[in-house]
Amino acid sequence: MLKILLKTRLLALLDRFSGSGKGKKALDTRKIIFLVILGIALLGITGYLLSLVLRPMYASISKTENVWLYFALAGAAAFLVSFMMTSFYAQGAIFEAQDNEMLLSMPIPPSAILGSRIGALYLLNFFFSAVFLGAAGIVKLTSGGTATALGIVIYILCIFLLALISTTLSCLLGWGVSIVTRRMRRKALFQLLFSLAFLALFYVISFGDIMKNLKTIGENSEGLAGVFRGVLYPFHVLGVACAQGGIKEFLIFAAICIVPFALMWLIMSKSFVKIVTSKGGAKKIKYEAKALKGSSVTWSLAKKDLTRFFNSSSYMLNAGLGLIYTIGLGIYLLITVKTGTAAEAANAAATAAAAAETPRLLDRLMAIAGPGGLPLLFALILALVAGFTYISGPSISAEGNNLWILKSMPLRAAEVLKSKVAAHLTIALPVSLVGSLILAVAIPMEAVQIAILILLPLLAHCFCALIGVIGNLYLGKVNFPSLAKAVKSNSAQLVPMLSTVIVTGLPSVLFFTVLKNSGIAFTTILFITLGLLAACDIGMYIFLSSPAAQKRWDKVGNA
Amino acid sequence: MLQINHYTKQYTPNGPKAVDDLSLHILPGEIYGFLGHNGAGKTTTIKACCGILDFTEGEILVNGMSIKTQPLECKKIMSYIPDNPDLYEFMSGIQYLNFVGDVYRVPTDIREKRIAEYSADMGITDALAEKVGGYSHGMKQKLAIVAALMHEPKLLIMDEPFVGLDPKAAFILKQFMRRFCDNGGAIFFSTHVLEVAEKLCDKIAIIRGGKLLASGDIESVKGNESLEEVFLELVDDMKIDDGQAQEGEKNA
Repeated sequence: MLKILLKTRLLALLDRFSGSGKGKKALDTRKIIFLVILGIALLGITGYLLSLVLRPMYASISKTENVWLYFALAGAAAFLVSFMMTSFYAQGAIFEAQDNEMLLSMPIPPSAILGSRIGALYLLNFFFSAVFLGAAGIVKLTSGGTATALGIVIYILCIFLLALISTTLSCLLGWGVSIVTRRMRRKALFQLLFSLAFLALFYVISFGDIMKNLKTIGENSEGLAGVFRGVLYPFHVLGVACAQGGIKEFLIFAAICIVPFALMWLIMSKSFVKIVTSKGGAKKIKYEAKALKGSSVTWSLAKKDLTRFFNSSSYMLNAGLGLIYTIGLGIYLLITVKTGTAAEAANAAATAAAAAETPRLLDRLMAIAGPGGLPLLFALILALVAGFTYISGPSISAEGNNLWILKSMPLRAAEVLKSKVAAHLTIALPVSLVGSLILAVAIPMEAVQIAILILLPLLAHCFCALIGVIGNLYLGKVNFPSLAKAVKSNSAQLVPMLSTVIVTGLPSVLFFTVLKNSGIAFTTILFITLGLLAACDIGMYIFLSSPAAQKRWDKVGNA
Repeated sequence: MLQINHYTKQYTPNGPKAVDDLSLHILPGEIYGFLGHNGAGKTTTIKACCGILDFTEGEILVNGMSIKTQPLECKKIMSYIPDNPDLYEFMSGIQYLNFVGDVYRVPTDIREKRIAEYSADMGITDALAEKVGGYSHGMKQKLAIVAALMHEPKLLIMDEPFVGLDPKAAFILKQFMRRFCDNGGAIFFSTHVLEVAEKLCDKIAIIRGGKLLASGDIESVKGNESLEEVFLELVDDMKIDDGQAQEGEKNA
């Protein structure tokens, strides 16, 4: 039974990667073989790219006595990436799967259903373990490292075991969120906050010290090794087991992976049916008639899109990521300015101009940007980050099964499309403004720099909102089975993200490369960028009211 | 009120015709039932009448205005209720109704009055504060009906409106449909429930394989037989015709 269910889950996963949609033919053997080959190729390419990072790292660590640290780092990275990738997926895949009720109505043991869900999740985690540790092993062997037969067996078993850790934690996170939000009305917001808080806590506890020590890895591997021997002990034993084939360390690592996994399984199997069959049970609110507030058509449509955004944790997490970066950058600078770090950085910008060769990218950029370049660089960074806030990008695809509502109403395309831009900007502009103002307070700067710091991100957000809607209008599908899938569809993400980054960043890239000795001031380049963005924004806004946009809107969802 | 002239729909340029040369006239005051088996072309036709689906040939006029060239004017005076009311699940019932009121520019005092009246008729008033996502299929259907009536349309187009409704709501809807048409409105709706069509409709049309088999006053279509007998006879005749045609193709 478990085998059949697991096969179904795998087919569903493959179908997802093959771009499912209505009217598409079901997966046949040829397609499955093609997708599997594609997966292996992806594994190989990712592994190769990783090896480019791992090779110098191995060369540096192999000179020390802590060779195990190399595998410990690769394992920790695999765990971090796989946990990040699967933690938000676990809850939906296990507890909110659409076929849970159907399967529970069949003569299938709930443990088999749970097993198939966790099994599919384990395979996703295993992909990352295999890529990271696989690449690490190959790099070691091709860089003059040696291994015994027993060591290779232990190393391979460790790859399988490592995926259990992230699976266990992802499942527990999904389980916790499901338990807590079962009776909640504002589930989406809580899920978002809970997930972000969990990730932040997890990052700070586990990896804060690694980042500090990574900078000096070549000179001071002992500092980093100490971190692994302490709070990251599981990765220490993993490293020793993989590097030296230590049986004792392997057994400890196996126990660390298997025991929590078994406990997680036990806890979840006891509550799985209860969670899945629970319909929330939130207290019903009886409607009491109140005076209704009317809105303009465009604003009413925008409010509808805003409600959709704030009711979906996956929409907020994926399309609103740039806003978290914006505020995060501002807060980080506020904190560092208190300790004097940012102020020092600002002062250093002036002296950095004199430095012919400075090792860090930011220093090199500041040297080219000249005195006072730091606030301008931050203005550029905030504008580039706007590309990661692509709320309008999937907004047409997000209509999905609800598209008939807009289509049957007396609405012009311009009203619908502009409302989607308005919804995007209602969220993005205030956050962008706050981010800019925090930076303006944190770093001493002139009035013209403040103007650029505020205007550049604002215009970039306008650009992103407009291009997002237009991109989705032309490239987006409306037959996604869920909002989460519509949000994560490639074109919905890539068009606003890439085009915003390219249009906003291109003049500066030219400045820092081709024009670095031309005598043109960085301020001038950013004014040119402002002009370019403003021209594009006006052009796209006019387009939304054009007959071409109307014609295209009429075709959306019209077979 | 609704004129469908030589309406033809092909989903692909050289593909089969989903609906072939269909012509129907629905007058003010008429309840017009649209009958046919699954896949006959009912929903395709209904969606084209609402301006949701483009069509290959023919013309559809709402109150004399073309749905192709004057879609906004047509949509202002009509309402559509689909067979599966996929409403905004993230909104509460009252938010959805208020949204519809905004789009149709219904003054707030009037929309409050209508929401109170129609929601009470449909028995969903208490649930209006709840999110639509928590509604049952029948509740969604009722909410869609209340929303469709918000701007007092002249033409109602409904796809299987009785599916999912409890007996009381179905009874109220039937009463409402009659009253709506007695006051000069027109209703064009599809249904599989032949008893409802027989008792409620002034006129019916029967479609099969995209082709109109019969249309007109209910009495003239069914004669002395029950509508069920007529419907089955027509469908069976077509099956025999289809069988003969296939046999002919084989022989050829």
